[in-house]
Amino acid sequence: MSERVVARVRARSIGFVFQAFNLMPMLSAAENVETALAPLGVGGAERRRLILIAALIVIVAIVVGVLIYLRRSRRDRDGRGES
Amino acid sequence: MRSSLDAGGAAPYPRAARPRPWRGSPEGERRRSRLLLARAQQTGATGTAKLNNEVNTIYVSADSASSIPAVQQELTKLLPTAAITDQNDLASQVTGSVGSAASLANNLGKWLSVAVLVAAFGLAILLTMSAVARRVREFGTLKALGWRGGRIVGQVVGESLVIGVVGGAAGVALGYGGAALIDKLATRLSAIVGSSPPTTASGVAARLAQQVGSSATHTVYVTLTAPVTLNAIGLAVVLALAGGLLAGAFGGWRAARLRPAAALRKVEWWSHCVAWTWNSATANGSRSAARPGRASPRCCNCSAGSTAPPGARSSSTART
Repeated sequence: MSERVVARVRARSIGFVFQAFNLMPMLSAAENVETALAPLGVGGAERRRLILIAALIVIVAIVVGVLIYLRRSRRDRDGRGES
Repeated sequence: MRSSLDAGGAAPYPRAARPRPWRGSPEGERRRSRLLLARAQQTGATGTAKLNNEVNTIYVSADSASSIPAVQQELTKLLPTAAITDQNDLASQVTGSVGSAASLANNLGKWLSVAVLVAAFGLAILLTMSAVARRVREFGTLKALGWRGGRIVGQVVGESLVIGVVGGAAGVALGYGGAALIDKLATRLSAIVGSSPPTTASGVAARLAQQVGSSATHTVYVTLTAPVTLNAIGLAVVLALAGGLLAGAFGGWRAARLRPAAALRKVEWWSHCVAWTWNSATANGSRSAARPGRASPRCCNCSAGSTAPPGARSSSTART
């Protein structure tokens, strides 16, 4: 396989789960995400839009998660299974 | 011109024994200046000491600078064996020696700058190489994310180019400062050149002068300058860019050759500890082991992979 094809497969078909974080310390969080989007051929503006959406989703998820946690912990403290 | 000189190389003049009452007087000075060469050579301070091979330079002054070639021609005719030089030769000799000093300085500067340039290029390439070698893991991550080799090379080259531009600008500024400093502190090379005396010796076509040029000398100054030209600045910037490009191309080429698995296996010395503490923390369910202050003395005395669980190694499953 040529290097080009391999890179394409890595970019589109394979997802890597790194055991260390493997972040670039000189880049911001958004730019770190952009490094994965760049080889897909996504334009700069589109990349930033996608990242904004993803960040919003993550924030919503965190808020929802915290709410669920609070509700669950209150239930545990009260000792009544009412959920 | 007086042709009293044409007896100079002729048969030996009979030894002068007659008294010379005019010796040592101003009149004598004047008359002595009209001595025949042969007599001058035979005249000694004492009877035995001859000046046979002593008198070997005759100064001739022309009445105008334009007649010097004609006088020279006539002298060559009269004294075919003599070497005839004029003030221009002397002047050009002096100027030539000053000029050769200047050209020596120029050549020295040129080769010095070439040597410095080669050293700078080598240093830039070496530093970029080492920087890239330290960032192998980063490039491995990028390759795993699907970056092509060319893209990574472009990244490294771009960074090197930026460094080259900044370095070139700093170098030009420094060069301006250095040139200004040289211009301010410049030492002047000076040379004293005898010039032809004022052309007022009318009537006397050729006379024995005591010391030509003692009356009128002038000093030639050669000032050490460091000119700053637009060409030099352009060359400097281009060379800085070329150095950055070269260094970046070398470093990027080395970085892009690695496979991501191989690059990611080159973990930094602490990263397997992070993975190990993470694993043990999640396995035991205790938070204490995850604290780096506790975990690191136990972990980092180990050689990588011996104490750490096999899963703690960085991702090596990606094979291409």
